[in-house]
Amino acid sequence: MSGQIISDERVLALIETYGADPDMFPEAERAAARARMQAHPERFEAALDAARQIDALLGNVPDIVTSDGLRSALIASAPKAPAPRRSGWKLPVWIPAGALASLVVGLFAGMSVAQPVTTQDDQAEAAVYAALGFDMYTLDLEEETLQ
Amino acid sequence: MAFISDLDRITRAAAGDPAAVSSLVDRYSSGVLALATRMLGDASEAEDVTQETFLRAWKALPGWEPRAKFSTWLHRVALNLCYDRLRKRREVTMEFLPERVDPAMTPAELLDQSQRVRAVEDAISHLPERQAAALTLCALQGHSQAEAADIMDVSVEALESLLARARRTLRASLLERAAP
Repeated sequence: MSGQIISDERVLALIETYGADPDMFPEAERAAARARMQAHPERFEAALDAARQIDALLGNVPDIVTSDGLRSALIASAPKAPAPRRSGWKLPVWIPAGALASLVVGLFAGMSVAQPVTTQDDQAEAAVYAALGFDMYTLDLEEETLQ
Repeated sequence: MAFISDLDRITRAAAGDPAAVSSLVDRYSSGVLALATRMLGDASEAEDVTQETFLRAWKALPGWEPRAKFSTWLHRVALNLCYDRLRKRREVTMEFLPERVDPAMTPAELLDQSQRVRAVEDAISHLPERQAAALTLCALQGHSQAEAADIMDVSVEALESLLARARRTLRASLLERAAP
């Protein structure tokens, strides 16, 4: 039970603003207004009658519902999820082709300027024998002698 | 069914989730369309406003911050778009305003239901725009006083004043039409 006190003027203003149904009044004033209206119905009768006429007219106004066409258009205008990432090769074809061409050119250039493998082997062998106190010339002579 | 908040829907819709997008459209498009229809009195223009409102909503979704309820924000956008259109309308000649309903009818007794409804709809769309908005939001769409005031960016006291004037104007307008 609300202990709130409400004036007749305020109840009349609520009726004029929100109509004859106290359920439409602001919640904070609803109970007090209802109690006042029940206690003194004669004070609010004329205002309630006038409000009921407008309430009835407004109550007959049909709801407006979104048509299927509009609904589809609204949905179509919404953001789309990003397309799922495809597995497998995703780079443009020219990128792997370019990489392959670069590899071929690099290999060719490398083979063209590289020292013969045998020369490198000889140098490495000479370094090892020199470290052991021999030289390649002596070894060659010994081999020829044996043959 | 699991409870899904507007924020969940917004987050998922921003990521392109079709179910969340449909859910937002189903939940709010009729309210936006109804508000625009009552304000503008023209179904085609109201559809345009609804589409524009949702386009703006889709753009706003990725950076959405829940400072206001989504429905409040959406209705506010729609209302401002309606105000813009009404302003532009006022700038053109008044000749193109829609015809008023037959003034020979009385509001309560002699009209059939469809005529009465048309008369009320017409009278609402001819109310001053802020009165029409207040009446539509509160009396026709059932928004609370606080919500309607928030949508209209006015105080609850100002909303009450608009509502009371709207009902008085509507009554006077319908009685005037009913006069022989």
